[in-house]
Amino acid sequence: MHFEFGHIALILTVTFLVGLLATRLRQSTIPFFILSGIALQGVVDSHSEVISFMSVFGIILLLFMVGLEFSIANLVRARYKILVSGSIDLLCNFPLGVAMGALLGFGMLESLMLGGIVYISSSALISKSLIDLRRTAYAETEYVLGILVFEDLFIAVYLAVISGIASVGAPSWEGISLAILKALLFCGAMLLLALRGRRMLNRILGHESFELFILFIFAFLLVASSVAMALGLSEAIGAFMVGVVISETDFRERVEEVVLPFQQFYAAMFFVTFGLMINYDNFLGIALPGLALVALSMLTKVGTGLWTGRIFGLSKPASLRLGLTLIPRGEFSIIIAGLAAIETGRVLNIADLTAFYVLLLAVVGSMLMKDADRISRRIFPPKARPKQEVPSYAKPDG
Amino acid sequence: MKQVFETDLPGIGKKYTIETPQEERFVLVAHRTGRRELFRFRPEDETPDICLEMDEDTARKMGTLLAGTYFETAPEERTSLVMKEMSIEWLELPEPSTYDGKTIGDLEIRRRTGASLVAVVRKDRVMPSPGPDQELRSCDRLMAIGTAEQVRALVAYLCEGKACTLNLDTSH
Repeated sequence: MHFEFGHIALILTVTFLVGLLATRLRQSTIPFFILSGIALQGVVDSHSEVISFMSVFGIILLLFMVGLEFSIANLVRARYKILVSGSIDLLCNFPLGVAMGALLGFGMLESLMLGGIVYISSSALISKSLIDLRRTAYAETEYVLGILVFEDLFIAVYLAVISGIASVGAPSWEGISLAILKALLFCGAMLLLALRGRRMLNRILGHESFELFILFIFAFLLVASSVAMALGLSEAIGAFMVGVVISETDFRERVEEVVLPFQQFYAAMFFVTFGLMINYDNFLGIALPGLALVALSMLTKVGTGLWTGRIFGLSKPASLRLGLTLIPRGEFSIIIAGLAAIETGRVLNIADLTAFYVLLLAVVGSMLMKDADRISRRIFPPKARPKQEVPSYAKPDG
Repeated sequence: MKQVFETDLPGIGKKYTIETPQEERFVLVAHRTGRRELFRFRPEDETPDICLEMDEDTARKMGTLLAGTYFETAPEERTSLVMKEMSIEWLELPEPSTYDGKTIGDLEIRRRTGASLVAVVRKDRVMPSPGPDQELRSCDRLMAIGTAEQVRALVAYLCEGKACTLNLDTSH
């Protein structure tokens, strides 16, 4: 036990220092946490049960927060916009990953996973950057966020289905349809709870005692995750749906406030653990297909932006910015690779590719987001009006 | 008045857009954290040329200033509050008034107008919740409460056609 304690102390210290470096460099912490995991390989035991528990708990809390942010009412209100732009995004990006997987000789399960990894943008990274870059009022921003809502919803169901398939072993169409059916039934039951159980939940959450409040949240979270796992789905869908259920109560903000510190801690542990699992010797071998995938998936996201912009009548620069903004990949791509690796108990070669892919796209994507204004201005120069440089307040200087 | 467009920014907050007569667009982004950002887009511009950022408290103060309803330093300026169903009005009995020396009961204020007097201010003395035997004098300042209609009836009754409300807001 003492041994393990020392290991975790080491992980935390290294992760803190690396995180500090990332903030100094004004970069997202996610790729840096993965790097710190890679650096710690051989020093700490990646098969430690404590570490893998923290990492799974990180996934659960990440998905819980996504569910909590998710608003059924918002989805219904802007359904046309979200469904159309979200479908374009899915259509442009998911097949690329699947095709690439098939081309690299991956099996069906891994190709489907690569589809998800390539498709899903990083909500965390993008939302934060949009705020930091003061781009919330731009015409395309509501479409970016709408697409992220669609992706969040998709990924919850997708994770359930994919780990359902992964746990069966050899995927078959039968297995896939059964997994989808189970996922839909589970979501339906939880939605019913969200609508019918609101009053009861409000009463429970309204209890004065803070310790009971947090105990209830975690109990609820783990019960739903266990039920989802017992059904052969993923704990992630359980956590996501608990988030959705709680977001319908009057205590959404309080829950968010209380759970956020836990989420940040355990999510960091998850990213580090993912780094621990990576076999970076493989990076050289996968560099070529990895780079091709990076380049192609930047193009498909730009394509998503241009197509969406055309349908909704956005200007060309705005459409281009929309596409560029969607490029960063991050937490979800890693969750897909990490979760499947954890659940199947074998490190799939897809994990290395994902690490390579996310390390590049988290960094390059953030840089492209920062420069989206300048790039779109260069490609589609504004006519007539006196030239304005990027407004000084939009420069990322803190 | 131009319309205000409201858009959801999932995960961030809400966006409100208003177009000025000069065809500029003012965009307010209200973050869920309470932070507000105000942007100005020049006509046909895609990127804002002005951006203001404020915390919630500053935004609220600024809002009252912008709306011209700032209370703190000039409480006398606005003496009528119109809420959904209820109206509160300050009025002053004319000098001289035919009602000088009559009580509230004598005047049958509630029965005739429906409005109630909730306070009588005479020079520096305040008499809250006056009863039916409270005497009224010329130059008394009265606080009345009721529906907008009841209060109007009261003003017409007590002030006998003279301008007597202390309300500087003439929009109703």
